[in-house]
Amino acid sequence: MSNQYYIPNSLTTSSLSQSSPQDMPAQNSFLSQVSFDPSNPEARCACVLLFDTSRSMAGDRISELNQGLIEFQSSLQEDELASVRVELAVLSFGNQVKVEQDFVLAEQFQSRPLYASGSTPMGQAVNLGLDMIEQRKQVYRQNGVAYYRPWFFLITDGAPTDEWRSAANRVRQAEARKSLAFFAVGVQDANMNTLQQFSMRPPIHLKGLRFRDMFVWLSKSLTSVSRSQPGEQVPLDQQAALGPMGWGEV
Amino acid sequence: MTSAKATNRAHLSSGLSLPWAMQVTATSLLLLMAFKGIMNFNAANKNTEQTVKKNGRHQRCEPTEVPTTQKTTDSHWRFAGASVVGSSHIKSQAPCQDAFQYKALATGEVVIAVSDGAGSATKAEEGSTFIATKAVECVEQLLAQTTPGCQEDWLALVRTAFAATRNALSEKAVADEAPLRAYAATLILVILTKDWTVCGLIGDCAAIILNQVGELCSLCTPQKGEYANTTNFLTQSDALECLNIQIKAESAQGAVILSDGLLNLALNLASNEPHPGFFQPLFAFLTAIQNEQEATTQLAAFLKSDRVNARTDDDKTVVIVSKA
Repeated sequence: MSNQYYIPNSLTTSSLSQSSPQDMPAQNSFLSQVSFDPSNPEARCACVLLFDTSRSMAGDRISELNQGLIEFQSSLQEDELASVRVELAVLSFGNQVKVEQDFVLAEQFQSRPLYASGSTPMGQAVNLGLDMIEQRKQVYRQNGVAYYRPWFFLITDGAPTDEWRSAANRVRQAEARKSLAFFAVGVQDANMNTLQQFSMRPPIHLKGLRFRDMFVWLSKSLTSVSRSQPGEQVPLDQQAALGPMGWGEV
Repeated sequence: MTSAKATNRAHLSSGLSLPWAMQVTATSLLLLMAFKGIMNFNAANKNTEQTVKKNGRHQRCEPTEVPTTQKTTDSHWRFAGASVVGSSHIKSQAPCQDAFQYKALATGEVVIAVSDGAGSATKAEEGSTFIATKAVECVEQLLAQTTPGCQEDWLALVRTAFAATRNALSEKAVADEAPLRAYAATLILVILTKDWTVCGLIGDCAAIILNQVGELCSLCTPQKGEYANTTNFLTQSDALECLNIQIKAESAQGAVILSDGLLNLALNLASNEPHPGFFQPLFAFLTAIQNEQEATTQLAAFLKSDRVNARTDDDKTVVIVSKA
């Protein structure tokens, strides 16, 4: 993963163009002439998605995940503000840790199907995801782009097969500094005790293979965060199909 | 997300560094007056000179002579202001949490306050309304008792006004049996006189003035924490340390004060420079309108328009003031 010190396309001004003043009342010619500053990039809400693509995910699990990801993309892209504020990166861990997608604006995100094989190098994947978030914040700061607290969303159906404790500690320390919001989801017979070690926030166990509901929830949550105002607690959607949430607010 | 505090610290304009003890003394003096209204500050200081250290050299700070005739307003001011609830609050059925207050004082100065309630504060709209009203009241009382003649005087006055407003809010919280944080809100205070332009800010509102030669200038920079949705609030325990004050020894032709819902439309956020295309039509609008009520109605309609709401779903406040 290269360091990005250039201004990526996604950081230039948003696709929300200044709309014409045609909807202004005719008698008010001065107010209809008010124009808006075109140079402010939208604030960014970065989200890293980490998907377990180990052997055990093959079959229904990975196909439901892939389907959910498609719906996630369309749900986000339906929201005008979320499209230009949410940035997504996708990492998979199975045979190897792979950057499926480097950070890209939601409006440009194109989901691709994931394939399952190999073991579960979760520790390495989490470490890489943390590095990517820190580097992304640097790019924002260097380019004068405001940003929200980034999200980290991990889905696994098993347990790590590599060294993971240092990654778990890094996550906990980052949470203590409020430098990210970490969510872990365990599928089927995932090792929830291990997942518990990663975060202050209790991991969620997915009901069945309801990836789509989970992704709709995630899309709504990211949309809320991306338009949240100072001092606002962002309530997570309590009616999510995931059932009673162990956590309250972000 | 809980509101994180920005790391901005109060700073004096023009690189002045007043010894802390003198600041506290000046502030305490004014606080005493504000609360008890006993001492006539002008009488006590009319024939004395204060000296302050500026850049290592002592500099005279001459108090303004109080003219023997009653001060008359040699210019009239026009105002228009509107607060409109954002579409995000419409969806959640929350009320507008912005508030503003403005007044042309009998002594000729103009005072404007805008306050933006914190999204999570349970009594945000009560907080912002109380703060905006109280801040203008405090400034009016202070200016009835004193005529600031130098930067240090204005610095002390603004600090006193913010402190007094915060104290009054604390007392209200106690009386209402609610925690102070329930009323969390930002505050920007702008004072225009025939010789001075003064701005105090805790939070992320913005003030842009039109100076005597027709240039647009930003006053205090809106305060943001690491994250886009974090700022400072008047209710936080170190609020007064986050107070930013800008003082210019010149008069302004007009000013526009905004809550943060309009920031990314009106300013270049990286440089804090005002976007002329936003402000010039607003001043022209105010000049053309004859009736303050009509101006307010049209301004509110503008803030509710589709093209504004395509860019922001926050509550929006704009107050425009200009010399008639």
